[in-house]
Amino acid sequence: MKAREETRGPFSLTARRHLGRAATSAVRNRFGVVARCDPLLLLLAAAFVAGGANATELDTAKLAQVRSAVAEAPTVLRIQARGQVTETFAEGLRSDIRKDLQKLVADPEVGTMASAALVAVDARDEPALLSLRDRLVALERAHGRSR
Amino acid sequence: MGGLVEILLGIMTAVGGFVEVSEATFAAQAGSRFGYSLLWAFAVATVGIIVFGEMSGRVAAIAKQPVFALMRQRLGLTLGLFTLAASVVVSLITCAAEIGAIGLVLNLLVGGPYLGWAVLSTSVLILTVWSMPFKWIERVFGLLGLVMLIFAAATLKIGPDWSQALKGLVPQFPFEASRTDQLAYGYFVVAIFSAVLFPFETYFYSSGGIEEHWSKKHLMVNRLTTGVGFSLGSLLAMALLINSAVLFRPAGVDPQQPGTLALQAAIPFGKWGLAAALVGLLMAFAGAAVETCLSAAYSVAQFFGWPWGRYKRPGETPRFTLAWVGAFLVSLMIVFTGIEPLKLVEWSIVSSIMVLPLTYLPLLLLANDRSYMREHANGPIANVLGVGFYVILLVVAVAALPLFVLTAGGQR
Repeated sequence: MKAREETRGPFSLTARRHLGRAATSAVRNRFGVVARCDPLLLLLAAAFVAGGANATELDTAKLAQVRSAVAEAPTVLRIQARGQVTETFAEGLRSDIRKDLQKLVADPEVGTMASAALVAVDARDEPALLSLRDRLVALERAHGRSR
Repeated sequence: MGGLVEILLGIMTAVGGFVEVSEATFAAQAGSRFGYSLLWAFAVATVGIIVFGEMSGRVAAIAKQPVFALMRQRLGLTLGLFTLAASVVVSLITCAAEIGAIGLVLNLLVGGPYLGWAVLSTSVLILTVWSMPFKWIERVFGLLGLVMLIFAAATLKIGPDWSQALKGLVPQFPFEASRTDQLAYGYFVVAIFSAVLFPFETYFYSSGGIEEHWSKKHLMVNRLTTGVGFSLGSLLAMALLINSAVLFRPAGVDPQQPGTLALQAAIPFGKWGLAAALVGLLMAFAGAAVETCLSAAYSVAQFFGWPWGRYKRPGETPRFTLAWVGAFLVSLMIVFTGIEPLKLVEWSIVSSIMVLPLTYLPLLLLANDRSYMREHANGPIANVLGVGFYVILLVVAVAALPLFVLTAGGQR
């Protein structure tokens, strides 16, 4: 109940907390990977402000689709880097992930988050993807869908 | 010695042919979303398919009656026709899901367009069924499907929490969870029952008994194939669930595509594990595509009393041959509509569970009929299990559609 209340409104506690986390990681990694993707972090933050604004109406099915695609992308990046899969396979999976996200880009509820995720997938930005995944999981929990 | 080989081959074929796209998808999704807590649903549903599978094989061996001939006798023309139409639709949707999944796996294995692979694989399957006798069709796909055992090997390699997995075998319900999660849990129970007890499996199995001219002496083969073969096959499905609980649940991945499933073997074994997983999935889906199309043709031919059987040449059974070739082509057309294989899987699961009670009622009645079955009619244990599972199926069938709608096919 408390979590549900927190997600209401454009400047909700949850949205502010998400922004806070993004800023912290930007500081912590300002000479590393995240610094290279500052615009991406801003986009992610914007996505969550938008997500927080509509939190009470969010369809958890769509949210779960975005979260799953976002979660799969870093897994694929990691095992590809370790040479555990073929290039054809990794590219095929990445293309499936992109298609899944692209289908949701125009969606009024999760479109902003799907767009942010697409940018992170294309940038092959593992930290940004993991951060986005964690925030999506939190948003799902706030809507009664645990994992 | 020959008998032992026959039994072993029967068991291995049953293991290799047990898992198809719906079971694989729902096992993996169940593990990812609910950890080990849905293992019991596989265990209970497996007892159900063993009970009804054994019954259908026994009826085929003793009364020489396939399921759809019984349907017309016992349900009458109107209800029989309704069941026939529903069963054929379910078989076609399921076959389309299998063909779509084959296209996706080939795309990941060697690249190239998914729809192109769907066309090529359908052509190869039609040629295979056309040119091979029934026993070869069953054995080739079933035995090649054993490559799926790579997923069981992956389970051993990744080392799950076995005590938690054992607890998952005890029937349970997440009373403390949110309403959203409770509904989704209920939907997954329904989906797992439906995927394990798919009606086409019984049609195919009993028609196969008649194709192979089963008699009283095959009753032991029937008992072992269903009892041991289906149990081991179910363990393979449970391995997919466990792997998902260990690898995908913490990562937040809901495996919805065959490629994601293959990661279960790629993560512990690397490229060769990936190749084995993709080949195993390919064979499992191809075997299921053949079974569903032949099942649709068997159902129609048996219901209308046409000559049927792959032990005869295609020219001797023209309408039956047209029916199974047509089933492949219609399924391919469904794939070409662009509907995703996962959506087809969801629809086939929901529609099949609603057909199941109608499928199993005539079987239960005939297996009890001493005028046909004589001393091989159901005993008290078979009856208690049969009636018990029938009641469970009725409950599950009633709950299926509301749960499907409320949970958006388990996605909510």
